Amino acid sequence: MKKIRNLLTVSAAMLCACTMTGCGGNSGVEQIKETNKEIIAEAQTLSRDELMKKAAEEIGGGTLKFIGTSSRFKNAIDAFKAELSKYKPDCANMTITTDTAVDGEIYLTLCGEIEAGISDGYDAALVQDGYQLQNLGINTGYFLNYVPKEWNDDPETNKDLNSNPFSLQYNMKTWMVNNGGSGADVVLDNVWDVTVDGARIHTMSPDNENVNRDWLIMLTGDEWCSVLEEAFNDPTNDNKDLDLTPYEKYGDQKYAYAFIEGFLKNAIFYADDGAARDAFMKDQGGFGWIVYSKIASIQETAAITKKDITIAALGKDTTDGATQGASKVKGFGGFMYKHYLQVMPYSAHPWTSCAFINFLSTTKEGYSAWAVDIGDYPSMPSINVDRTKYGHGTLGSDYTWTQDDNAENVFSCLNDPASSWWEDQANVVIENPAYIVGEYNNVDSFIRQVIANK
Amino acid sequence: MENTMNLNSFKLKVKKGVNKGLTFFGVPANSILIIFGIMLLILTLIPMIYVIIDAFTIHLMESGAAGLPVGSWTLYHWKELFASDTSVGYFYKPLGNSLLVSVLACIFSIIFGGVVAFLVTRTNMPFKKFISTVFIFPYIMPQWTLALFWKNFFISTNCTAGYVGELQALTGFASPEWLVYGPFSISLVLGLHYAPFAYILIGGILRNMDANLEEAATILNIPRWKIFTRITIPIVKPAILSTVLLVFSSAMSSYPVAVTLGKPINFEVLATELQVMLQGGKFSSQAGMGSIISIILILIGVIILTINQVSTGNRKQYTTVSGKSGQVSKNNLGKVGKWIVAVILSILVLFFCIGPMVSFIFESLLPNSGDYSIGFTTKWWTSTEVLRNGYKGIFYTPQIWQALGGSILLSVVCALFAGTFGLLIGYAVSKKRKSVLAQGVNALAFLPYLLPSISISAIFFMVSLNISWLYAMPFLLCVIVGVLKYIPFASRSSLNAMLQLSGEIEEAAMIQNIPWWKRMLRIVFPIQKSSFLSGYLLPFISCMRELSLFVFIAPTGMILTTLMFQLEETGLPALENGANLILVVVILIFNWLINKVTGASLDKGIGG
Repeated sequence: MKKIRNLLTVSAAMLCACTMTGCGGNSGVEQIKETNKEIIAEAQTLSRDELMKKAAEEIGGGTLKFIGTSSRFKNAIDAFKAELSKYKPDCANMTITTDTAVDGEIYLTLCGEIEAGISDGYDAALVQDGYQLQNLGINTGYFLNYVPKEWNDDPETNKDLNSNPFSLQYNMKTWMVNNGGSGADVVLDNVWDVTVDGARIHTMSPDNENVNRDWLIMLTGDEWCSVLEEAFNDPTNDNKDLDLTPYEKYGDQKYAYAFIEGFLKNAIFYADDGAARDAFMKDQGGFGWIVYSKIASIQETAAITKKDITIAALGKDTTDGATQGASKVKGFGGFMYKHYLQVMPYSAHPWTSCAFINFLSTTKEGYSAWAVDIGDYPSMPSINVDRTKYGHGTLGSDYTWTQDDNAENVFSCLNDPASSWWEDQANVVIENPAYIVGEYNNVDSFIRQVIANK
Repeated sequence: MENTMNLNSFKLKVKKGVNKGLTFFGVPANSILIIFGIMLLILTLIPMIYVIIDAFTIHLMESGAAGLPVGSWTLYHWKELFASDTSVGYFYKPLGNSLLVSVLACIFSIIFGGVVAFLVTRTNMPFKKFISTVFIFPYIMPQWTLALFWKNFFISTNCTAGYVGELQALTGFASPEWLVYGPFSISLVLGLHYAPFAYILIGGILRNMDANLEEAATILNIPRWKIFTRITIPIVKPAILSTVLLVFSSAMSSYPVAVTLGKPINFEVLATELQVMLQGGKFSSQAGMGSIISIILILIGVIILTINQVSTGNRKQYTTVSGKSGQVSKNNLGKVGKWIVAVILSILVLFFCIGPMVSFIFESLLPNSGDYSIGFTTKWWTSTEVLRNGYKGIFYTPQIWQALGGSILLSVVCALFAGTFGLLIGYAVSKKRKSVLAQGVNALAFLPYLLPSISISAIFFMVSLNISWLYAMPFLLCVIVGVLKYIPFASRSSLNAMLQLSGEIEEAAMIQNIPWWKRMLRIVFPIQKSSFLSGYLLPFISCMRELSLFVFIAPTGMILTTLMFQLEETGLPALENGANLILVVVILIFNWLINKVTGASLDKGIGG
């Protein structure tokens, strides 16, 4: 018994000691950050080839710790390793972590590590939600921004919009209608149609993913208020009788606030886009405000078919995204939010982090992880993949789908025009972190009130 | 001379003190209480202090809205939560909903679990083994599984964004919305999920109960209902209270059921609000409000705990296992009656317990979630081609199997530690249950159960950032958090078992000078083996299907539940369902293996 008692006592003492021993510390990490800043500044001037050489020397057979809100980056890892191996064979044995987290959790992980001065934490990250990035990553000076030289030198890239913070790509949420069965005649040709009493919009809750709040905040900007006013007064608006008096107090922003309230009241919220899509596909005549790429993974069956889906901006019978005419919806056709690539300040592998970011954002091989689907558009248009006839192909009697640009048009909703069409013709709202941060508190409290009192 | 006398007197005092100490620690129960008291104090105080500080501090993302600098002390969150335009929607309504759902869940679980436990242990009903085995399935399965099954089965064209569900397709009956969404369905599903708590705890006592008391009453011609209310119910009262404590606290912080069966009609509960508010930990824009909700949940739990504590302290000890002869009398349901009861119960159990399992299997074989129109496909299991995002069929995706290995390892380690710690705590508390120390440790051991999982995860993640060696070992961190969270299962189970055990059993051995560890291993443990093993199995099962608790600390792919999130994000619900099925099957296999090796399991524990 004595032995057991002694053992327990020692265990307790050890536990106390272990718990109370705070071994973390910030000494030296600021120096690492300064060094990394210099490395990134230099990396921005290097060609991909020079950068890869430095990265290969740095990482060897080691581990690059990467985390993302999208897990697709993992599909680019093998190609990246092969690329580095050309410079140093050891790199064939390197590892890149494939951790994923939703947008709230990822900032806790990254910012938590930075505040604690962890020097062997994540090297780089793929994040979303401009609001949190601006507040937590940029305004605090926590995250480091790297812009690849190839991207910067490309005349087609939009430096104002996408260089700081550096964005890999746009993801799009768009309006869609389930025209199956009893919903065959439902048309969404004006964004105000979704605010008509009784309309059903399947979408993610702003409380579950902040980008769903960001786009509503973007609508309060002057440009979008004018767009909403114009759409409201258009004959296609099915909700023309909406009383705007309660919103007069918002001045020029009244259309935005009226729209936000109408949208939120009719929204059926889900915790993720996949669940929203599944419910939307079963709701004939219902609307969807869902990530465009999500519909690509719907499997064809006798009951559920992508043929029933109409992308509001494209219309019912689009055959080729390349020759797509004007948008079929008044107002805006979607919301493009971004995926940003950032280097962590205390990264142990700054060269490799920059090289991986360079590889993902400026090479077709690196971007192929996202290019396989509709609805993702790289910030460097030259690496985009043509998906304008993505809905062409053959649907077998066993519902097996074989995509083929030269075959007949089967799924109109998949003929995805280029990013430029969405921006110029479909008038999509594009995420602007700086604007969102400025207006967040005003609009957010309104959004919360509407949701709370639904 | 005077100095020498003082010195001697001091020495004497020290000697007395040391002797007192040695005597005190010579009692194993005291040593256990002190050691675990210190351990639990540290581990539970850390998150508690964090939560309280957070509730009064401005965080980075709240600074703008509050107009206050980061880190400043404030009552801003309290005002926002209790007295602002959004208070009703974000707090009062969800609070009312949570209380309603939790109370109903307690009632449902006690009715379901208690009735089945009584029928299995105290009647001559046939199919006991089958019913007993299958009845625990809803607890083994993740909560949302049952919720999803309920929704798929009952959803109809009468519901918000409804469609023809399984029942409507089969019978043409369109269920009303209240049956599909809202408080009734949420609490019923939670009640079914937690009914095994009641079944195990109440059944454990009913099974071991000495029938002499009831028989004595029968001889005295006391009516059956009076025997039930005056003898049976008081004896199972501790188990009922423990069930209420566990179910109410669990239901208050349950998130997945409320999301599935509440969100579509905007029926919010505190847990759904909390999950959103704490999703980004201290970097959330509502971190302060989330912390207040955590405190409220803890306070509600503490109130129930206190009620239970007072009851445990005051009540007479109803020993059901003594050194004297004991036997269980079986109520005769009648020749026909026993078959009718058994058939009805079997159908119900099959529907609620096997239904979701069948649904799981189907979902993993369907081309789209809930779409049976063209039959099934095995490609989600057997495809050697990449389906999406690097994932092949389940059999050919090593990440799934590695993550499963991680889940098993973590669950086994957590269960071993939590089970053993809980057992010792239960033993010590029962031995010293009148002492303040024992009551304090008992309360401390239960406190982690009241802390919302996501809150614990975020807090321990932040703590680990300051302990670099711990941060570098996420598995160890998961074990610490898992053990802390699951000790309550084991300690309640152990305490219940110990309270039934008459002191005379151990006393006999003590007279023979048998060492404590031998008494534990040879006498106490074997007698109450089934209850003690429940204390190992419950943490194992809970840990296997846990996500929120490990969300910030387990790297993606380390355990199966975090990998499932990636499968969902990738758009592979069939793989996610398949992974869930594997989880459930693995748990069932473990249950079966333990049953074979030790002769005990969750269901066997009460004698199916």
